[in-house]
Amino acid sequence: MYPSNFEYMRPKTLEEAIELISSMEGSRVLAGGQSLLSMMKLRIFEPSSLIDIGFIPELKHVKLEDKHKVRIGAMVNHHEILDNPIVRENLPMLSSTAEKIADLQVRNRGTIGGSICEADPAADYLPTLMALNAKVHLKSKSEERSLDIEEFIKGPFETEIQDGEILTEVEIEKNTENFAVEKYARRKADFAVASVAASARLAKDGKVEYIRVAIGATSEGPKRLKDIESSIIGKTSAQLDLGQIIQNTISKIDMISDLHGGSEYRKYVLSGMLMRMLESLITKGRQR
Amino acid sequence: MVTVSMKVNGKNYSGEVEPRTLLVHFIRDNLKLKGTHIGCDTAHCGACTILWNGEPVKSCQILAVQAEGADLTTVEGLELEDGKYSIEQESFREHSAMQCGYCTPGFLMMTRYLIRNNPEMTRDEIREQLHGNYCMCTGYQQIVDAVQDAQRKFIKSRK
Amino acid sequence: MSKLSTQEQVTAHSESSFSAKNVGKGVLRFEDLKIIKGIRGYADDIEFADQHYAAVLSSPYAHAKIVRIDVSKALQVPGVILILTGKEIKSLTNPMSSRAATKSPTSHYILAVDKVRFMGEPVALVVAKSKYIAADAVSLIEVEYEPLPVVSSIEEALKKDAPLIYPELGSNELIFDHFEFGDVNKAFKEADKIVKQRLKIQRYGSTPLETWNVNAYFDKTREELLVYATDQQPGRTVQSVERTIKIPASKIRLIVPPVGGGFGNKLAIWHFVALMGLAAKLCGKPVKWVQTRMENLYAFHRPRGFMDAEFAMRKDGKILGVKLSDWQADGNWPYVAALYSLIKFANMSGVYEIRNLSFEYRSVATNDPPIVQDRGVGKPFMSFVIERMMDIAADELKLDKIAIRQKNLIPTEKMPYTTASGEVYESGNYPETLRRALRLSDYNLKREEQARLRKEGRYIGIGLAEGIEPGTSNLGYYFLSKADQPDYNGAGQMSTVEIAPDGVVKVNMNGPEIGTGHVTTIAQVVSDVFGLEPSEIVVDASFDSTLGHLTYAGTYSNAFNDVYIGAVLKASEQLKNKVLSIASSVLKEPKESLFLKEGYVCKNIQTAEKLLSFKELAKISYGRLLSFPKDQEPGLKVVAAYVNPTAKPFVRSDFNVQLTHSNSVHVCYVEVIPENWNVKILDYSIVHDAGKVINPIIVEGLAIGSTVSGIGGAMYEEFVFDEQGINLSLTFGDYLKPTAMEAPELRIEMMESPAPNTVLGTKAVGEGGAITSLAAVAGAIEDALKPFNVRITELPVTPEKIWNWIKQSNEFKRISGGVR
Ligand SMILES: Cc1cc2nc3c(=O)[nH]c(=O)nc-3n(C[C@H](O)[C@H](O)[C@H](O)COP(=O)(O)OP(=O)(O)OC[C@H]3O[C@@H](n4cnc5c(N)ncnc54)[C@H](O)[C@@H]3O)c2cc1C
Ligand code: FES
Ligand code: FES
Repeated sequence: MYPSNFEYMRPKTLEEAIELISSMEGSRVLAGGQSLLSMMKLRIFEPSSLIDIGFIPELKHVKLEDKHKVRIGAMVNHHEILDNPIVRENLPMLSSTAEKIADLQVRNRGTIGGSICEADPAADYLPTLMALNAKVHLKSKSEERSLDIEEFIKGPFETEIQDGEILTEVEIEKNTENFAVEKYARRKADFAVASVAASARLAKDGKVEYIRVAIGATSEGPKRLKDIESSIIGKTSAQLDLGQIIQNTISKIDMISDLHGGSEYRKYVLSGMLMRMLESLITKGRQR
Repeated sequence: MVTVSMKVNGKNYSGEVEPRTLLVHFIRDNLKLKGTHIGCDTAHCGACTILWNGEPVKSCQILAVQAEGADLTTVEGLELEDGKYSIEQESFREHSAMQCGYCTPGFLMMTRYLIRNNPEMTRDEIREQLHGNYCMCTGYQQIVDAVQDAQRKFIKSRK
Repeated sequence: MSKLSTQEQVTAHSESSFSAKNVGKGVLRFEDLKIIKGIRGYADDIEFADQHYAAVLSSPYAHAKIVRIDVSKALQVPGVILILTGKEIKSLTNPMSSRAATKSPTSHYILAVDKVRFMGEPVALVVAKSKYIAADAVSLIEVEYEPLPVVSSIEEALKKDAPLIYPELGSNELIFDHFEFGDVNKAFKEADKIVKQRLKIQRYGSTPLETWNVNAYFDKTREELLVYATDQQPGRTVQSVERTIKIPASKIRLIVPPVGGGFGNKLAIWHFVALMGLAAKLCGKPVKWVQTRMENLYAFHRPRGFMDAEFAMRKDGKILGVKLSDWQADGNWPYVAALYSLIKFANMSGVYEIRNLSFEYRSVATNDPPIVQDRGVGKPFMSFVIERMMDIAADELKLDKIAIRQKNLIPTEKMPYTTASGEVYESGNYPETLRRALRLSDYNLKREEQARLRKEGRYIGIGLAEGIEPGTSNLGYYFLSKADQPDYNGAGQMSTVEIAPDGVVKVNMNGPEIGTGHVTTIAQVVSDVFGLEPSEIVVDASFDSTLGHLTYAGTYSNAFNDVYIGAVLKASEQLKNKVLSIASSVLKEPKESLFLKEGYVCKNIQTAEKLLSFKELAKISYGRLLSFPKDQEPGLKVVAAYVNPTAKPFVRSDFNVQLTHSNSVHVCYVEVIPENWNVKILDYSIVHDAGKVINPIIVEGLAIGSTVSGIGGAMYEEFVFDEQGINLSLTFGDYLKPTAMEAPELRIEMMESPAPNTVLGTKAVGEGGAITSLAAVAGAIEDALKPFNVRITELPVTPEKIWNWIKQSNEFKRISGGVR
């Protein structure tokens, strides 16, 4: 399969990239290309020019600031996220998520910025980033802004990014709470049929004092399950009817429906995952 | 047309390409290195796997212009300088880990990377690391045998 | 019609002096020395000077009228030199015809003419200076379609007022036929129980990693078409190309370099050879077409369909009679319509004694894409039906699944055994294969473990299937439903063996090498004839139509071990005989005292005195013509054709569609995980009897690979279409192949029941796994789901399907409690 022609730009600095993207109409940012090039090869997508941000050192950092804030450049690839000691130590949930994406070769090219901007409803990072309350930084010629990941992702393949903007980095508070991240797909490299990212902390008395739950592959994209969180917080596992709580939430959700799984089946799988994962999270902590 | 320069199997290349040229086409058609294959066009099958600064990537899902300055290795770069087969090549042959051979260069490149970065994988772990490479012929069993053997040979070679 | 006695039919015919030294050894493959360097030389690696490239415009509709095609914009793209559409094709070429159908459509051309019949049907062809430019031009061709009602199922196709795929035939039923053997009515009257079931098969297919490639050049000076193609049946292609684009066969040179996987998928490439050949002739440039994966996934799969099976059973488990009614959505590819039904005669009885049998079939045209002879053709489904029916019958009669099989197995004393329709199972020991499989798989221990784990709430299952793996096609079955006798046959091949002028032994099998180790296998066989080492034999495993070949030359239907080996061995022995005669004259030694060893003509077995080297002999035979023995012909090259003598002429009451029959037993052990109903294969054992084995490494590899391809069909692979006939499985992200993580570790044990009717006792290898695994996997999953009372009658068994089957059951309600 052969993409159609385009003009190619290879800026060396972020400033140059932003200048290019705001001056060239119909241009697109090229990150790892692991999603974009598929679409271009199929000619579903034919941009008139590509701004390759792969040669900009400023987008490739992983930094720990003030011992609690992790900053990850947009061009950091999945493999580095899985491998990087700063991420592993301060955001084990994120590095554990990276391992679940695609395969080794794709992980060596695909980037966190690309995955976020692509906003695939079944992308693995997104529920995790929601559970981690990540912020994304955007930069354009006129403005620099940052948004919560939940605000940024508007729906399947839809984000808040504006023409002329580049996602520059992801900012996440250190988080080493107990967590569970899982994706169910028939084969490992396939996009999730259902996915869950959750983390929790229990108080000494066994009450849940912190909990975050997000899921992927719904028909509206990744979602944080605030209903579930608020029903659980402040309670011990003995006080909870988890089955009922999950049921209440899931019944209101529509999942993606395609040849990898219908919505009803995906819901079934999702409830099973939630049940098992949450149960273990809100009882595990107590045993410590 | 855009000029790209890269190192492939230790040699420097530079050439003019249309920006849309896929790296796999650049390797096959411009450099005439025919060992890197195309099996799916969509980054699923791994037949086009090469090493990029030592790490495996799928060359059908990369533009040649993105490889500016990169150091690439293809299957043609595996053989040792004295014409001897490398550990990966030897193991694959000794375990008959191929039938039609179309997938083999991709698996060899994976093996080159894996045994150096994770020389103590179990059979299940090997299977997991190789899941981005399809083989339609062998059913994978002999491929796993070969990678296991390559691990052993590699560890031995470092002692 | 006099009937040959079974004994006569299988008489060994080779009186060769063959002694095996290298045959039977696990020689490492010579092919691999090239493969691991990346220099195998596949079709896409070959380029002509001034190479041009073709791209195809494919139909986005499954059924539509072509109202208008405008190529003007595409023609303006710099670098585009030729565009072909149905208009040109209609005036320049002949339409395709059907082999089996009594009435042949007359409107199906190599590019769509006036209407499209499946999504992905080629509508236009562009030739340009580069692949990228060709693709650009394709995207600029404007086609106006007028959608027609889509026929997306067999039931719809057979409705009275159904839209017709081929209006000229007046019906979508391409063929209907009925066969009956023995006394079926009596059997059904006497039965204690009649077990009935409809079983379904999905569309799936082998997807060789290398897609289809054609590179064609028309040499004006010689008026010859030269083509490189990834073609599995090039002998036939030459003729079909001649018929279609009207270039004489003698002016077509078709070369098949090593192929990156075949599996039957590349048997249908001929129409693209014709298309590129025509384009090359028209534009005067070499034209290369490399199929994209999406194009590869559009069409040429196994057909979907179903079979109604009725087994008349005695209550002790004995099968008294069987009625089968087969329905196949053959899509719209008149060329091989009915093939999937007719070839089922090869394993219709499985490993069982079934004397009363009726079979009726319908080949139905739909807007499904074309079909092709995919790995095992109709035999995997046939085996699935029989083995599922055995399980179902055991269930209904409350008998043990092993016991019911043992009751019906063809006893070894009855080998060679002729089935009700005339298929001859030439050798085998089915009870022993089963015994060994039970032992290899630790069957009894597994049953105990299963019971224990079920108490712990785990769903573990064991499936067992026995299968026949036929090889070598007596291709005339295409004509079973027609009046005429076939004018072709797959039971023979022609090959060349020579001692080249430099003294090297060279073989040209003259058939495509599709990855199954032909080079090494042939080297082993030929080395034994000439007293050499396999590494000293130069084997060209490729096809060149200018060398001697029979009409149906090709690598298909598991025939290599029979007929290509037959031809190579015959040529080798003739050459050896000639060598000894020449040497005897030259050396003035009695011929009987001479033998060949280490590249020399020798005498005296004890001391092996070397008298004359092959090199010297070649010098004499090619050059010293004045002193050359007068009673011999100079040169050391022999072309020989071999035909398996047990192929019967076609009579409806007694015919054999295939000539060798390997057999195997598969035992599959699975766990089903209730959280998502995913299935994990925990263990898989195979006992495989493929007759005499020339190279155990190669045969074992094929058995394993073939089994994993079957597991793909049983659990993962399906081409899914919507109601509009749109194929939704067009990438490997949506058409799921098993990866190394899905493939189980297999345990395999070989048995050898030599075939009496092949030159070395070899039989089919390569399809057995794909045939036998379907029922083994399905049976295991059904067994695991016993508490849910599920009967598995269709494939692939996906977790979502399992969930749908069981979610109303009591067991499901019990385990899910209040949660869901
Ligand atoms: C075979 C295969 C399997 C996969 N499996 C999974 C999986 O299991 N789970 C999963 O989550 N993903 C999977 N993916 C997708 C993969 O993670 C991609 O890497 C990711 O979705 C996109 O990242 P990228 O860097 O390649 O982005 P690109 O493809 O380069 O870009 C994607 C989109 O984002 C835009 N963009 C990229 N970066 C920026 C930026 N910094 N600022 C503004 N816009 C930007 C681009 O313009 C484009 O529109 C798979 C991909 C493949 C090929
Ligand atoms: S061709 Fe690149 S992954 Fe298949
Ligand atoms: S050997 Fe044929 S695809 Fe792997």
